[in-house]
Amino acid sequence: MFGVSIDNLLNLDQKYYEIDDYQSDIPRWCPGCGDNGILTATQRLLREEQIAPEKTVFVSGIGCSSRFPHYMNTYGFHSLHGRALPIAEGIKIRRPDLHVFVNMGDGDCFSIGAAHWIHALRYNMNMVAMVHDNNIYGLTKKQASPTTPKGLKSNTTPRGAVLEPLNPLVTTLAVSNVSFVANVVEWIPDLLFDVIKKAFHHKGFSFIRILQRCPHFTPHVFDPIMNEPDRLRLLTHDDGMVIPDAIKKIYKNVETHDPSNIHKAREYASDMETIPIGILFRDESIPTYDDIRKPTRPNTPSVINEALQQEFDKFGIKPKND
Amino acid sequence: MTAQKTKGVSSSQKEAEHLLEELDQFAGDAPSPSQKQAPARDYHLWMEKRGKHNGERQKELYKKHLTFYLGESSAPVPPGLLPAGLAPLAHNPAAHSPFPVLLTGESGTELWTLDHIMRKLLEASSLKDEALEVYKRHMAGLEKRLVDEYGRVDHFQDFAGIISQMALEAFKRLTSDNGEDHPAVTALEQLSMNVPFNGLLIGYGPETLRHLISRSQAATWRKSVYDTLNRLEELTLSINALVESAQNAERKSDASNTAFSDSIDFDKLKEVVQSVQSPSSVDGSRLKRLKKIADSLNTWHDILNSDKHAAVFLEKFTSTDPARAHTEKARREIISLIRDYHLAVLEDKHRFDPRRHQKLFDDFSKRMMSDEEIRLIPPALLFLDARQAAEHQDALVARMLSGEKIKISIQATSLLEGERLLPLYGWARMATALNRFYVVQTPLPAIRDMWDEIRGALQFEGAAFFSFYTLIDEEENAPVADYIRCGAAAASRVFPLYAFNGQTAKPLSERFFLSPEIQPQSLWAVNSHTVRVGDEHEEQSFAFTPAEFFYLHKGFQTHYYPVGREDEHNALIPLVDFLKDSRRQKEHLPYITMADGNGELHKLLVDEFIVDQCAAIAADWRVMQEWSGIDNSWAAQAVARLKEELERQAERKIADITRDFEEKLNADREQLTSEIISNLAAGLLSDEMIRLGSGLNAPVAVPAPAAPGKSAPPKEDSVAPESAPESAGEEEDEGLSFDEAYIDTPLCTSCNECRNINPDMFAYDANKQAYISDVNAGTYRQLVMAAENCPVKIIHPGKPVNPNEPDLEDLIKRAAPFNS
Repeated sequence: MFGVSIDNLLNLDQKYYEIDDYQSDIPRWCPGCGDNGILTATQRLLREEQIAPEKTVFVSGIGCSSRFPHYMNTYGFHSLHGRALPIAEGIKIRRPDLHVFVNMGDGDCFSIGAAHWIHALRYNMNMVAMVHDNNIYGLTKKQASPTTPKGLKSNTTPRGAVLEPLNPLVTTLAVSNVSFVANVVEWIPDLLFDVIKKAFHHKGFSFIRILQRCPHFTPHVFDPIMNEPDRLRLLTHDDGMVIPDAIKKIYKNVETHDPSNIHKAREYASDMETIPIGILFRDESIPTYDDIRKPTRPNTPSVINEALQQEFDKFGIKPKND
Repeated sequence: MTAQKTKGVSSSQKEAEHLLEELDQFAGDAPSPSQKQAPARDYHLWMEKRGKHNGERQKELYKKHLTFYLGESSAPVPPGLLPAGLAPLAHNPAAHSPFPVLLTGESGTELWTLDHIMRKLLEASSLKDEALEVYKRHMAGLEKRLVDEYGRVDHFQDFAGIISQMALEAFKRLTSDNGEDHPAVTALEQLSMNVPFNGLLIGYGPETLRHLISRSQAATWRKSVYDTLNRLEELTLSINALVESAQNAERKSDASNTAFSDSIDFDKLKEVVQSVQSPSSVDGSRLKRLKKIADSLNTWHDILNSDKHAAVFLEKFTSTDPARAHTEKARREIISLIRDYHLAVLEDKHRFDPRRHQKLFDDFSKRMMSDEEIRLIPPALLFLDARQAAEHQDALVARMLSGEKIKISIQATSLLEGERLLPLYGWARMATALNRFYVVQTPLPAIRDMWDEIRGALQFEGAAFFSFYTLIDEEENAPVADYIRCGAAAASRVFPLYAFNGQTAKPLSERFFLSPEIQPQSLWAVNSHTVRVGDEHEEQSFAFTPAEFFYLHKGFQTHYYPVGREDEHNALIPLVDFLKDSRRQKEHLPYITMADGNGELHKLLVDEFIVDQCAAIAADWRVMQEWSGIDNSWAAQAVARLKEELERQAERKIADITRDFEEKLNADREQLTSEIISNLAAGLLSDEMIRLGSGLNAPVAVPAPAAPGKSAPPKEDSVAPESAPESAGEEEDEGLSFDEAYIDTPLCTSCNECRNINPDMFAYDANKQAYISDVNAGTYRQLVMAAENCPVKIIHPGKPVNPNEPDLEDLIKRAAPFNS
């Protein structure tokens, strides 16, 4: 009727998602903030994979980076400081059909959430964890974080940071069951996108440390490596990530690294002079916790409803029948 | 920053506040983001519960209804009202025009919708599971582009070119963003290189029908000519060969005897030709004749070989007189084709004898043609729009009555004008009543449903009449898209979809076809929707009557009057019920249900004028239903009569049988009774009876064999391996001049820095990476500032566009490091 065949339209349930479909709000990060680039790369990933927004969850802790879920037009959980990972794990174990992403800051993950970080690596649940590492607590206005370089003046270290910074890559590679470790900088958008994509396709816990500029509190902390492109060591391998030729022209320090070689990965990670960019380590064979402890019962709305009704019945007042 | 340093305490307070603010914000964001889809998607009908109280203003409503004096309406009509049955469709963002369509198949005989095309493309991709899902979404993207870019282009477009171009773009974007291992990439690349079918893409426009009909008619005609003259191609080739060889011979003789270039050495030619190819002789007159035939056949071969040329031959006209002249011309031309054809056949067999045949072919006319050949004379196509038809009314009627073979198409762009119904409908009625036309009536959006009928009309040997309705809105802001309104004309019975076959040999109900699209079984088409009344949901059905259709036209809107909540009255009944009773129910008031932009339902009082129109259209529609064999009152009467007769016969028969049976039964009963008594008496006294009394052996039960157990069928699990072939994409670098401002877009980190400086000058592309959208939208100063602020230093300001900007020298100096 009416000359419109609405019943058999392809796009009635098959919508082609554009980038704007994943964007919910105008980001309130400072102009020039590196988080914008990470947001764009993630949105591009979802667009290219055509993942429905309702099949995606972004979980975050507290911090600038943790405002991430607000700007994604997907499900989101802005949780407690350092507690993003356990919440994401809870989501994943009950809803294995959802794609879970975790966004944390360096303080969030490496300091208050350090215990969860270690155990999330060991649990190896299928999700992507991105650490936006800007070497400072930004949201709370410049306090030293575990990765703050020695000597940087902050509100908590007015005479300069006294400790050597934590090397999260080395820590990560030392935990048992670790299955995917990558390191990338946010100012090379194509590499960032490639790494997040590889992480997304990896089955298991994909840990990505992203070096991210904070234009307000640590504007010059990455200047040495930004001005000297050779201090970035780009890791390429047919089995891992292939660096495009266009990028090789600018960043000439490219090395072939087999991501299954953990010893070499640890060696690269602990090198303080050059920063490895790309996939350091990947092992698909490690079992994931969500497979080992798969729920025996499907979690459909009717099952939930039934269980709830049973619970409610326990509290119901029944007429005495004697 | 300085304030923070001096007042450390307050800064920490500020932080706490900031955190709290943030948490508050999160609490405010509570509803799930995925529910924030397009608002129109959630369009639902609803109404508030209305009490059945009797309003005060009943008298006023009666006055309004009977005198349609609605000028000073006290309650203003809510804006954006749409018929309740139509509103959910009009507000559904997924609903789109069925155009463009694809004219494809052998000689342009099939009409495919977009869905059909997309399904074929998906089938051709042979992808599975998840890859298919992703590919489907990309195809939905392509489909959207097709509708956006070609839905309104009303001329023919080469489909394969368009779709491969689009697929190539999608493929390039995917590979550049995403590498080669994306599941949809291979399929898209394949599609860009090889589209599994081709045809012509046709959009929705005023010329669409003319193109479709003349294309299809040309193809049909061409095919029929070819089928009949099935040797035409071979014949042309062999005649060409004959001419060639004769000319070769001529040239040879020319070469040998250049002095006599004007005259031909016939003896030598004769020798040569004889030696070259055939025993027959080639003389000068024959060569001329052959050349002439070859020319003619070659021209015809070209014409008949392509739809395009054939379409030119089947010229279409917008007024009657040139059409008649053209029919004459076409008739003469096809007669000459037939003549040349027969001539060629004779020449090909070397049996042409000028003395015997020349006279015959000089006088060749229609009388000498077979019926089959006469049928080849192409019909004239007459295209008129409704206005032209009205102007040339007399001439058109004369042509329709003349009994000649003509295909007339009348296209209306509006059915309503001011406050009246245009008489377009009358033309189709008239053609139907003439009982020899093949009549097809359809609005353009429903052409797919009537395509078989249109093809039938084009292939029909006699005259055909097409009645089309094509509504085209020039401006795009109409509340209901034009193609939906066009279809609504059909659904409301104002312009029903029907076809009538001109072949008189068949019974009427087989000749008359009503499209199932418009619910031909019922008086009015009905749509059901869920309506929220108060807190409850109920299914309500809304009839789509002409009253609803008329409301979509501005000129008619003065005939409707909104019924406010305080006007609610028992006398108000739906228009459909009102129309049911032919006495028009004096004590009742008709209303129709409309929905506004929020989905709230409103009642509109309908006046007598509209009711009259509806009743007239309903009567017409009933006639059509009866013609097509639906609820045929004559047939029903005949059936009732027959049934009564049969029942009477059956009753008589039953009575007869009962009587016979009872008689027989009584006779048998008497006979049997006497027999039984005599037998019983004999039996009681016999030996057997005495033995029975002493007892008998009990029968022994034999156990049944156990049923054989059924074995379960073996189960098999198989997993199909998946493989994703990879392909490589290539990129090229291009040199850029530094005079113009530009951005290295692929390196952009989307940090918003430049967009904060001037959002008009800098824009984001599909990947959310910045480019310069309009260099004139801001100053050179802003460009330089953006270049300086850009954290990845990818903005190159180039040279200033405006030479009068202040401080330009300083700015150029500042820009220099970014231009190198």
